[in-house]
Amino acid sequence: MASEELHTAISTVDRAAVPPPTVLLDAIPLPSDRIINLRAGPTVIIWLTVLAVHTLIPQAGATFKVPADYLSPAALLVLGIALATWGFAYIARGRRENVLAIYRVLIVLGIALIPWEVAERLAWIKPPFFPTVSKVIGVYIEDYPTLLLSIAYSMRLMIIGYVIGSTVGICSGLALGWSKHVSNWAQFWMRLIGPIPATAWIPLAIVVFPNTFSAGIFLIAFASWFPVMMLTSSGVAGVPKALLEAAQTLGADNKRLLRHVVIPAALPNVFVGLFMSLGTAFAILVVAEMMGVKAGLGWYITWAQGWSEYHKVYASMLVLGALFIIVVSGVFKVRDRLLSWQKGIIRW
Amino acid sequence: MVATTPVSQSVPVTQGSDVELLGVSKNRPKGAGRETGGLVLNHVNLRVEPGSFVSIVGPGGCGKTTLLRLLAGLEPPSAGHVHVGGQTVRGPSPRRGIIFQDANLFPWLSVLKNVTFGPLSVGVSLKDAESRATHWLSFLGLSKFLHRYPHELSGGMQQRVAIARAIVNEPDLLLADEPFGGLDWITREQVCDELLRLWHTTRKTFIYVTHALEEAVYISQRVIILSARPGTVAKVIEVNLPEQRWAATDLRFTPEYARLVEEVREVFAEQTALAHNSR
Repeated sequence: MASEELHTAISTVDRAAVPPPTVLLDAIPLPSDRIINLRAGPTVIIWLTVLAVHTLIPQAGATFKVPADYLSPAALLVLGIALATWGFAYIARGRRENVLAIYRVLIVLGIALIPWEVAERLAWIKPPFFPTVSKVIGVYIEDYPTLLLSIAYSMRLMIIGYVIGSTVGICSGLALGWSKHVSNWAQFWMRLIGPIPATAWIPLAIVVFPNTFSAGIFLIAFASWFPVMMLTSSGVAGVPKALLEAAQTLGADNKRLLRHVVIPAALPNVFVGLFMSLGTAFAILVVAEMMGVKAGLGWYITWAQGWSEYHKVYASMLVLGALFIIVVSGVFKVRDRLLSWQKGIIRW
Repeated sequence: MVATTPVSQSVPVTQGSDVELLGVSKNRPKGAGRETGGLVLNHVNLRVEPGSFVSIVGPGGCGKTTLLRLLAGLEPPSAGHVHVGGQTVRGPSPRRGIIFQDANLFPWLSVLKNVTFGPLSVGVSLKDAESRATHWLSFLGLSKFLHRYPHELSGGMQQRVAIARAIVNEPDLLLADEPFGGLDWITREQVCDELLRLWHTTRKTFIYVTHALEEAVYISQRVIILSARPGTVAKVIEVNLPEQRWAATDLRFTPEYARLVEEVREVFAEQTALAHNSR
């Protein structure tokens, strides 16, 4: 009896001594098969509906010539992508999050296209102001050389202007935040001139600059300069005094203080300024190209509008949006490199 | 009796500089975020021998931190002279290291780079700076954390990095402003011992501001008690305890230790009472 009790006691101890299974708390579980199917299935159904609406509803109202049909191949392409990624999600389980991201975009796009396509088939909305989906897709296929050229011109104007503007912004912001003299003398004028909308400078810019290209660069640079400058100077002013004192007692001279303490400490703020000014710079880019620059997406939009080719207007608007995403993610990449130390401090 | 550990080595050479305060006063303007302006330090006369470890205690707001900032050269005195190593203090210098209340590490630099910041600022080559930094960091038990960012470390570790950063420039005078105020007691005692060990190895002059009276007795050779605001030296108490205190584990339970703490406490209480009566 006693020995049996002892035996059970020992065996309980033995059981407790077995180490508990290690659970990786940090590991994010991969999306389950169910989730994948619940996204892929509707994607396919929605895009089949798009295709059905497009092909099965007869076009109300007569047209002289039947326009080229780009929606059917596009919808088939999307269906192909949906099916391919569905299979891919089962082969490469690690990429499931990416696959789901694609599905989310395709589902929203398909849901938006169905009413558009129905309205257009039943002739509730009329061209040219509300073109067919097929015509908008057609722009990318028929007019891509002009579109690509416009993108290249826009990007050139945008990048040159933005780089100049933010460089001047960072430098003047550092001077303003760092030097009392500069701040005392220039603060008032910067605050007066800075908030003037860049568009208000157009009359002056056209007169002063030799061509519309340089005028456009000036406008974009101006638009991106002010937010960067203000945020940089407030970032510099907000550098903790304790860090400056620590650096001084370690023997840092002014140059080292600026380069190794002030700039890194102000950098998060500088990036806020850079992101803010990117939006205004983009707006001014389109305005500048609409006003006089003879190339670029802004010019393309005005030119298409002149011909009442609204499908081109919409197509280039989408391109503008996509370009903005690309440029923003480029700036984000730079930020991630320079500010990786913040990862553990702020919500990344 | 105190378990005196036999000091077999020859008495280490003192390398620190002497510190002299002659009639130092500090006046602060009223307002500007301070509820009380006026005199913070009143005619402080003080001499600290080279290579000694001195604690400064005093009632809250008596100007302990101000005194330390004057010594570091972060603020000028309103009157009097501050001499360190025979020279008048005119501004911050790498010859006078300081450990702040908060670790104040640069959050964008790794532990190693935080520590090499000082040597690189005074023109030491990168290789030398790194070897010096790793030496001190491993002395303080941080050799595993060289490439971590400060926010990945605990408070005690951050404060150790701050100590390494202050000592790596090999200053003649090391100032510490309630450096372990934010730490729990066990960590605090450990880091205190490390600081003591550090002082014993380097033989620099250490001036340590604290409001923990026992800690002041435990860590230093002399405790300076400041009067209530405006601060002036109220009393100086010599602490004649063995030097290698981290080795004497029962030091805190000896009657000498208790008597010294009691003595400091009495003067401290007197000064606090005076401060209350004058208000």
